[in-house]
Amino acid sequence: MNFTIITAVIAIIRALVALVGEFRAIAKQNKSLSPQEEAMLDSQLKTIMDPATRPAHWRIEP
Amino acid sequence: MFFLTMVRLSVAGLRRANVLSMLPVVIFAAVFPLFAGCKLLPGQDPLLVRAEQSVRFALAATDSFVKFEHEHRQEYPALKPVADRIRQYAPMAISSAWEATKSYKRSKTAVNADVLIQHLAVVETLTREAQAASMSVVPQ
Repeated sequence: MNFTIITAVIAIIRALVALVGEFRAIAKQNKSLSPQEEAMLDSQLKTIMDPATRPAHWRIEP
Repeated sequence: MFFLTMVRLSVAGLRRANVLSMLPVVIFAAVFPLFAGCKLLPGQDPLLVRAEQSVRFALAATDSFVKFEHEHRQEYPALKPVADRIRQYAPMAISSAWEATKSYKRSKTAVNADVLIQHLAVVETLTREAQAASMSVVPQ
């Protein structure tokens, strides 16, 4: 197993850990979102919808 | 069971010395929580709560996937078409599902419920396409 593969595996594991943490929080949701949580989700969606505020990883590059 | 499956798939990926084979694990981890919902508090509308969870999940899963692709583009060029497709369609699909969720929350009519279910189906289809596409780039 060379260095590139180890680096990539570490990157995937890090992404996975972050993802699982987020999904556990989502899975634990047992009631409708509060207005504050709704506003946060609204804000996140607006950020990726608006080309001016869209993060680099959401931009389609040639 | 979930973690056992993840571990088995990860080990399989490592055995083949091919990190691409681990990508389905990431997608699988993204899909699984939808089917492991906890018990709702009394009086909560299951459709509404599950719709909110689906929207949050879809946003987190797609964001994670395109971020991973962006950061590792040179290593995995085959993922770019998949990620670009997600970049093109996911924001609108997720936003529409979120708007439908809010409409249903404001007015719980049968029509709004139907519209919401249709939007959620689109989001789910997009996620499944991403999963299928990422599986297709895994060398067998």
